[in-house]
Amino acid sequence: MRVLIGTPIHELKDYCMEKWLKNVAKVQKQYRADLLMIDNSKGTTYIEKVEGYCKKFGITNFALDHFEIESENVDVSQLRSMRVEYAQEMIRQATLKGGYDAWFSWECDQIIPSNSLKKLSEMMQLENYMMIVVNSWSRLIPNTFNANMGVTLISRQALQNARFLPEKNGEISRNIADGYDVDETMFKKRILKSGGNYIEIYGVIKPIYHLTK
Amino acid sequence: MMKILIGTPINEIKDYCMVRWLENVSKLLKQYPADFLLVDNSPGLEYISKVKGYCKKIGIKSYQIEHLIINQHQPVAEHIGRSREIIRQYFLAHHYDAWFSWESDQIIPVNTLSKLVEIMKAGDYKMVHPNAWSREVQNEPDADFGVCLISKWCLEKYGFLLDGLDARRSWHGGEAWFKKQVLKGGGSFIEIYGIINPIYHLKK
Repeated sequence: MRVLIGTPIHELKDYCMEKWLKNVAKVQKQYRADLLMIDNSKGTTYIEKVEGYCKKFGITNFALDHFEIESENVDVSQLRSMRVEYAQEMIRQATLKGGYDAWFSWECDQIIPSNSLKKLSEMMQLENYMMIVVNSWSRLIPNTFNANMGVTLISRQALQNARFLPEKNGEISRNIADGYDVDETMFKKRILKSGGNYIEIYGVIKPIYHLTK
Repeated sequence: MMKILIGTPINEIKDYCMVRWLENVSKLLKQYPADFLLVDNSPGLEYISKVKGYCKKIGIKSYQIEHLIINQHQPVAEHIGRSREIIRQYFLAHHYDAWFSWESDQIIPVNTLSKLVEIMKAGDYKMVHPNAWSREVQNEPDADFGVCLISKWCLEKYGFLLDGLDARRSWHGGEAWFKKQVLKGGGSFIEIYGIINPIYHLKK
């Protein structure tokens, strides 16, 4: 399976970026995959910093893209959600355009075993699942399940059938009203509505550390 | 072949769907033979006689019905928790490999059990939860104990009663608690969505 690791990033998460990229390098050694990071920080300074980290850990097959959404009339948390959704939609389109078989959605604050991607791709191929969502425990509330898109392998078929944001005039919508508050259950429901399937796995990929600092 | 117990708490409140459900049980048993235990928590023993009549009519001959005497004013979650514990005790006493937990208001495809057994074996999962759909909230997937396969591994370790030594202080939320215990004990489980379908969660 040809997989794209795709991740929205922001300078706010710099506290864990080095640890995460070190982890990415290890995962890539076990399962060859390209890396696409979508930065939504203000300005492009953070991109340079991340490029430096990649160099440090010997990550060469990566791409960095950048966008900004600013609005004075919108609540800060809504704006933050919109940025994540916009980045997810960019990655979805990049996965399809790039001819990848799957997108490995892996948030930059989650440290996972280096054989995770290998294991998930084997599971996906063996059982023909359209999406495998891994429980990665809530970052803020201890002992609470978290089966969102933090560590999730999404097949091309699922990405063809379900989107994150609609397009308007040939571009991804930046209208807050089109957003979904990063509620991943919406994306899951779209997959089911299209006649697809997915699984959520608990205790299969472990340990997963969801970093708060 | 895994030795399975189909075990279900029942109550006269669900009589509106009992015949349809027992017909479904009968068809499923033809595809995957399993033992069948019902735990009735209705007041009195009258409902048991009624259910026996249904079983006779539908041709289900091999089954057990136990009765749980419980104050009807106790919370529903307690009715269910205590009924599940009776099923668990029966399960352990008769050396089954897995319990097929299947609520009496859910109509499922007849190959469901054989499919769940395959998935459980393939991944060595300790529990497999297909999503049913919420009975009350439309379009809301619900992967709890309504339809699920639970291995002996879990049932030997964890029960359904409130235990003074554990952190749980309420009958409510028992399913999430049970799942967490399985993970804490080193086990794994899987929730599968859109794989077993259609599932009809009957409300009338």
